[in-house]
Amino acid sequence: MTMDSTSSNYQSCFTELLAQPVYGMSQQEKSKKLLALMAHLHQHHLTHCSAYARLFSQAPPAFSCYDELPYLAVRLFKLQRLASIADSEVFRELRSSGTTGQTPARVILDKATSARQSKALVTIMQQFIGKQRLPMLIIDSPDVLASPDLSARAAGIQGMAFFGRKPSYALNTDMTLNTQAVREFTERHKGEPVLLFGFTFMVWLHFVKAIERSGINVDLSQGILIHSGGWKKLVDQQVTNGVFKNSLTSLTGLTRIHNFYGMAEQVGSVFVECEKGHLHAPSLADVVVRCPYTLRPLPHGETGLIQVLSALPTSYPGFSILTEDMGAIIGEDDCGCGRKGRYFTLAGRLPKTEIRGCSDTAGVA
Amino acid sequence: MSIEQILPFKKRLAASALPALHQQNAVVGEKVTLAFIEALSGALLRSDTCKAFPDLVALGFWLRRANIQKILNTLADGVYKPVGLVVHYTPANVDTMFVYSWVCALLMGNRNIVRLSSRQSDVQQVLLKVMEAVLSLPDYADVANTNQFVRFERDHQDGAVISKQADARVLWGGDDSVTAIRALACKPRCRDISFADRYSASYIDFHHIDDNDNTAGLLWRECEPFEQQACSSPRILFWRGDDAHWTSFVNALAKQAKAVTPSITRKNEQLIYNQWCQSDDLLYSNEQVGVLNLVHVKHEHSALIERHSGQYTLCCVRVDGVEALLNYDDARWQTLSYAGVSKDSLFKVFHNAPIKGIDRIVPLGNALTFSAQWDGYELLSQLARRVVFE
Repeated sequence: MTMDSTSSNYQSCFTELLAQPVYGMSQQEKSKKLLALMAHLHQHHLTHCSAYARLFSQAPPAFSCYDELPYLAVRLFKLQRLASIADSEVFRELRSSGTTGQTPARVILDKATSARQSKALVTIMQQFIGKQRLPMLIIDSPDVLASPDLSARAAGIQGMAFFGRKPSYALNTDMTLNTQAVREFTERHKGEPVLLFGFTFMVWLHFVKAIERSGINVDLSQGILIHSGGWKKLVDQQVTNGVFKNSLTSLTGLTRIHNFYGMAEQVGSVFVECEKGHLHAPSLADVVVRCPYTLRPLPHGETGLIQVLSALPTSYPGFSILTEDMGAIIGEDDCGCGRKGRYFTLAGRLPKTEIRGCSDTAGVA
Repeated sequence: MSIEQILPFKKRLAASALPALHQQNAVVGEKVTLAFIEALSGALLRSDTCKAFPDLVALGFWLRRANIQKILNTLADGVYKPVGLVVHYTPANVDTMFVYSWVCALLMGNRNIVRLSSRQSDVQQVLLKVMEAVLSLPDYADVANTNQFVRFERDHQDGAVISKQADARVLWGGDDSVTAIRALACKPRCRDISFADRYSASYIDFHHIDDNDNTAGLLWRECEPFEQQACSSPRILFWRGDDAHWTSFVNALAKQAKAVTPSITRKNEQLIYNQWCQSDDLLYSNEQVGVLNLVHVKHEHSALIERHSGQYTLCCVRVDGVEALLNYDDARWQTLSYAGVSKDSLFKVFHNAPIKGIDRIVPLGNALTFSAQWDGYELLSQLARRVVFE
């Protein structure tokens, strides 16, 4: 980001937000700070991203509430290369495809945005894991990291591996449970806190189910499990978050289980599930819920499309994104866990659009 | 390996055992064919279940004796013989389409194998039930013997067996599917009638429109069916007039454009289309009119059509007159429907123009009405051999 006045204004807003406790600001205080920062981000992307300028040059220069913020449809990242930096400043291009066979989303990062993402992720995760780097059990196969192109799965593991030390892998190449590795890990770290990370459906399918089947004794009562990656496959099997947690607790003694919601288009600003089972917006991010039929903002309690706001991205115009995920804001500042700000719950993905018409591929017929 | 025969009755059999492959041409005879079509029309129009589906009612009307006679009258005088076996590959989702091209082939005395979509919609289920009842009548045993409706996967090896026997193939589907099917081996003289990816447009001259409500109703009648995804559904609206014309038309359109089926994804899809095109500087603006997403096109670009997937989006282009449409000539443009302009003036502009596209020019409201002249083909004569006596 070039050092113009917008950028220094953004920088001071960002520093101020980052200095605040992650979940300590009231919604009123936080949204005020975040909106001031977003006005600078909006100006910044208007100046540096021609696609963004074509879309949102009519938007107001400053915002009095979230409803006024422009938002980009998340699929645009699959359809266009959206950058607010020169090619020479590109540090990394993240590619993520939701489902196999789809065009991947492209997210353009410079060093500054990438550093901000790491900083944000650390700040947020420490709220749940603590500052110490714990011995780590990764619920995946070590081979996932061996593949030449960095998959979203591998990138996720790499990102989380930072929070642990001496990583062990719980699964074999063929996704069966590596009982020996799991036994060694639990025996070596008996009685001390450990960190576990995995993708939600893999934790369920290849860890929970495998332990259940094999009947082995796994004690992880001192563990903290962080998991993410979507519930679709579990919803299909009618596995709710409650069932997921109860099974883990009864099989392994694990009680500290935190799901988190995040996406490649806004790496770093993650929404982590609290002890009460609610996803919380951290200081650097927030959510709005919009009606899928009108795109108008919905009152708390109603389910609609989730719009995510993030203070982080300057290298690409992704600070306000309308996702294709459904959810509902439960409330503000009053979650039983004590955290301030908005908290919400997910309700699955927007269904796939049905393609009809005579130009439809008869191939599926 | 076997395939599934759906009509005249359900049965699993090898493709090579399909009766239509082993029958003579023209065994049915014109009189029985016409009686059969009339019976089918009556069954569709009488059925209470069909009344819930406008597509089936429209089909029932199209199949009436008077209309069929009108269609036959379009055939130039001459002696016509069947081509033989016609294999139809039907589209996955325009559920009634296969009946139209099949009836054209039937009228010319051909034997037919129709491959149905495996996507079993309500409309298709109801339609097949009615057809089954009529085909089971003893009077139409010959029709049942020479016409089979089947299902098999795209890469099923029996697909090749059937294609090899075809004297003509009628191919509905997207470019990719049509190309894939055409790659199957066939007889050297086999004829292909390919209905691949096409799109359509409407033209309205508001200087000669008195009744906006009626005009808006006609336009919506073309947009509403099949979620605006049929090849003859208009995706572009060319219009002539001033701002006041536009405003009052849009007000009229807002009253009409109410979707029959609400869709939780449509609004998001419209947003994505708008942002995708806007970010490439192709649009001035967009306005929401009922469920319709009207986008005002800044730069005409093939991307506007390539990215368009129905979803009740109309690309609006203001023009000075019909002549301007020649600048938008495109081989994939199928139908032009019109209002506020006479057929004669359109004829003057288009009949001598070296256009690659536009196969049908029809009054507004009729774009989706199937005719035996479709996509530039004259189906009846294409599905027959004409014998010349000199």
